[in-house]
Amino acid sequence: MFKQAVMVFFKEMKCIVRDTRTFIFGLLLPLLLVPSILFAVNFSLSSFIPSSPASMSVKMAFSDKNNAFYKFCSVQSGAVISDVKDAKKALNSGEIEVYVSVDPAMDSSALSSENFNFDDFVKYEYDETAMSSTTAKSLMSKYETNFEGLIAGAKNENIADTDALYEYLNVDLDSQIADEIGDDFDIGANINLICFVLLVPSMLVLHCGNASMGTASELGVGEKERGTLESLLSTGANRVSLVLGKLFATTAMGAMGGFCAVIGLLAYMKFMFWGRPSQINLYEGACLVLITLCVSLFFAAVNLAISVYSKSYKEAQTYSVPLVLFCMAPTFFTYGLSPVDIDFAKLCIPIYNVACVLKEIISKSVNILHVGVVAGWLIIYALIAVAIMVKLFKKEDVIFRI
Amino acid sequence: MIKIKNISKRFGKTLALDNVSFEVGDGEIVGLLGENGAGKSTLLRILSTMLIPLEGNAEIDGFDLLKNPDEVRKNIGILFGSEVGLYERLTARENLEYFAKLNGMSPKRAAERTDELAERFSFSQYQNKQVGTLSKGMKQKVAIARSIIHDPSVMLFDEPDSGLDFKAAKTIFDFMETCKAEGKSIIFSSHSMENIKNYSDRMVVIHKGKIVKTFVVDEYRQKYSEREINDILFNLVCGGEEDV
Repeated sequence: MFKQAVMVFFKEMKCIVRDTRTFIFGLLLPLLLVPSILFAVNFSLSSFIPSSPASMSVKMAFSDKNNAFYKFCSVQSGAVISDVKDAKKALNSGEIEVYVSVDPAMDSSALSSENFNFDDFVKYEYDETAMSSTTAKSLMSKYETNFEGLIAGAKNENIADTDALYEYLNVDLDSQIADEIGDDFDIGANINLICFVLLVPSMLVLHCGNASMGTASELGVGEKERGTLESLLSTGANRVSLVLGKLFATTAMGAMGGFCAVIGLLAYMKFMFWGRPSQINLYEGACLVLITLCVSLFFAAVNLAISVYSKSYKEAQTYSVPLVLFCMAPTFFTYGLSPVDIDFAKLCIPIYNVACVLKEIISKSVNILHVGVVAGWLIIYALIAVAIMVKLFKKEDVIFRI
Repeated sequence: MIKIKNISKRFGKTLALDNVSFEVGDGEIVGLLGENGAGKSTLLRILSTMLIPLEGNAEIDGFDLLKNPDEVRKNIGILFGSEVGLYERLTARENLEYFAKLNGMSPKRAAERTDELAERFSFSQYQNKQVGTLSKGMKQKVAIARSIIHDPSVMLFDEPDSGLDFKAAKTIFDFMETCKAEGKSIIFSSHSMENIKNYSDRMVVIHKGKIVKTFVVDEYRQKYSEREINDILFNLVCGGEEDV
């Protein structure tokens, strides 16, 4: 039986590889899709995300310069203050990113009131449609926090008049923070790692599923549509071996799709994205390969079962496409999950467990027991799908479904 | 030798075959004549073990259809008219060797048998071309070779003339005659009265899953004119009586 399955596998691989355009496109898509998305994201991010905290800046303008908040901001190295006549026009043209309106009563209230509330006196105007403007607005909250801290300090030191307050606020906190963090801190490298950790699980699941989907349709319902199924079934070959041969070929294609996605991501990280590759050692690489193969086996079995059940290529795609996209959803739930929070219960949830264990691998906290548990579950799911598929393959009303 | 005994088959509420029985001797061609949906393809699919009968059974070369389906498959060859049943991205040779090995032949024997059939059906020079690039007639020859790669003693032809031009259909019917000369038992289904009359020894007319008439073609030819035979067949195929 196994000998026949191997024979079917080699024959199917030969047919797949000879369909040159589909084969190359099927591998090029995962190889280029991830770098293309990242390139676009990086390109748009690079215009307003600095390479280090020291170079963070906000282009702003004030409604009035005679207040403590203006005096505070004016000495911060990251604050670029301009004079504008028309705030709206300046925001739209990109001349400024935030326009700050300050109530003239703020300073006296800050020094005298017990319950001073910054938001009651300062309002921001910014362009909600521009990423740089919304980012600048969020950076203003950093100035707010520092300013409120200094006001509290001034009260403690019993500063009562505004001139003394302005003198007290004359300190460049931006430079101090940059000095504390040092030159080694690289925002780009950190975003690099975050993207890698976030993207690998979802991209791996998507491309393993996607690559096996096309192959499964071709090898299952494609046989019905081409009229080769009856020739195949009238041979002396065991139906289980036919199914297994097709399963191996579909798994191989799914795994190739998954590997291409990861290779594309790694290549991009290495050559384009802030120049720092994410290092994966041999042990982590082997775990990644094992999980990719198991995910591919799972998708191959499910997609083939769907394909065998379907009466046309179109029907198979109608079921498989939403399934693969739906399977991406659990990977997003792990975005905020720390590897230390991964317990056994989480490792039993289909697909979510794949994202969990991939997160461990990428975060360099590989737990071989977790890898084994997830691989085991994936093999169990795949075996269930194979059992269903074999049953379907033997059911004449499915094989000759009209 | 084929012995079909009281075979019935139901698809949902539809009775596709109703108590069908007949025999086909060695070196005999039996033509199954009927409208579309009469049950011809269903019967051939049952005989090739792709479908299981609701009732009844059959014997193919002494092997019980239900008890020894693997042995039955080793002894039957099946050919379809409209579908060649070949993989377009494999070469003619690879197709034949693949089916030979699926039928349990050793790689060496599969290669020898492929050479033999490529020579016999005159496609030796095209055997290393992908089937998708071959002409329809050439594909048909490869499909014929595929159907007998394992040298079966029983041949089933499911509407072999469907969708084929005169030349391609002639290739198939010539092959059918050769099979007969080799002593194989042959059933072929068609809805073409002319082809059934011209190529079968016996004719089984089937209507809505039921055999309505079985007769020896030559005996009818002695009794009736061609036109009268056509009228009889037309009535039978449409479910009427054998009126002349």
